[in-house]
Amino acid sequence: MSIMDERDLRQQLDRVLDAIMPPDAPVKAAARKGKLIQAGRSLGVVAGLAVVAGIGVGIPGLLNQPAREVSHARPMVMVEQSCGTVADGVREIASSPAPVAGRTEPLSAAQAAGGRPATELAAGGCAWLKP
Amino acid sequence: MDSRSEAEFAEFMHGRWPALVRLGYGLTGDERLGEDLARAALAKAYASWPRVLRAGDPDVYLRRIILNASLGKVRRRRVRERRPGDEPEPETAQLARVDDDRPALVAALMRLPVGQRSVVLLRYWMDMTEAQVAAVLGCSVGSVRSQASRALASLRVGEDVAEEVLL
Repeated sequence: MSIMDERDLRQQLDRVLDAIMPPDAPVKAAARKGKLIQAGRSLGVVAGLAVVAGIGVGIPGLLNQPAREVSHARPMVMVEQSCGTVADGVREIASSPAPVAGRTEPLSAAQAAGGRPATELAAGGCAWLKP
Repeated sequence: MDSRSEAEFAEFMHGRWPALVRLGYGLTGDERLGEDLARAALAKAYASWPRVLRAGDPDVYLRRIILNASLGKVRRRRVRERRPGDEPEPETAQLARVDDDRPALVAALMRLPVGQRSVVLLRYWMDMTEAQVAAVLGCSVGSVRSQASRALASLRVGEDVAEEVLL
């Protein structure tokens, strides 16, 4: 097959394509599908509006949420250097620091005062929470 | 859509249906695919009928839908047929079949890239001007001219050379 010129191409196209005899136009089927497309579009619009409304209601609520209250009460901690004697300079971690035990005071003093063990310190000392 | 618009649409559809199916066939090389394209185009036209009428030229709208849909079908077919590790196939071979029992001209059209095929059908079968083709395809007149020229050159070369290109 080869084409000589534009006129030849037109004639061949007419011959080949006009030989196609399509069935009757499916008007009802096309209309039905068209209605489905319309319904899909409407649904899309409604869903989009719902999302926008949700964002409109939700975002200000999230932005205006009151900050969580932070507790200012600090635990009172006593640190003991070798888990036997309370170290020098051991203080109560509070607004008004004050020594809570002397160097030679045994650890049991903290316990006797009603303290409870809290955590091991990195330096090897022990922390006691005062009641 | 009211009953008057429905009747208007039905009349329009009856008038355009054969040409749309033939255009679809020319684009895909398959009569059934051509009917599918025409049906889908008419359904889309129905869904936007008032807007299509307002735009002024329903035929341009329909042709554009069919051309875009045929491009989509070519792309989907390409994705479906490609296996992992396969070399990508040239676009010109997408709709060409080895066991081709179609008319030689249709088989030759299927070897053209879809853009050139569209230009050939719109320009030489539908007798549209270059400007009208450019409007339907959404490209420049210069692009239409060059695609038409390349398509004609390919079709002039003939079947033997085209088959060599495919192999």
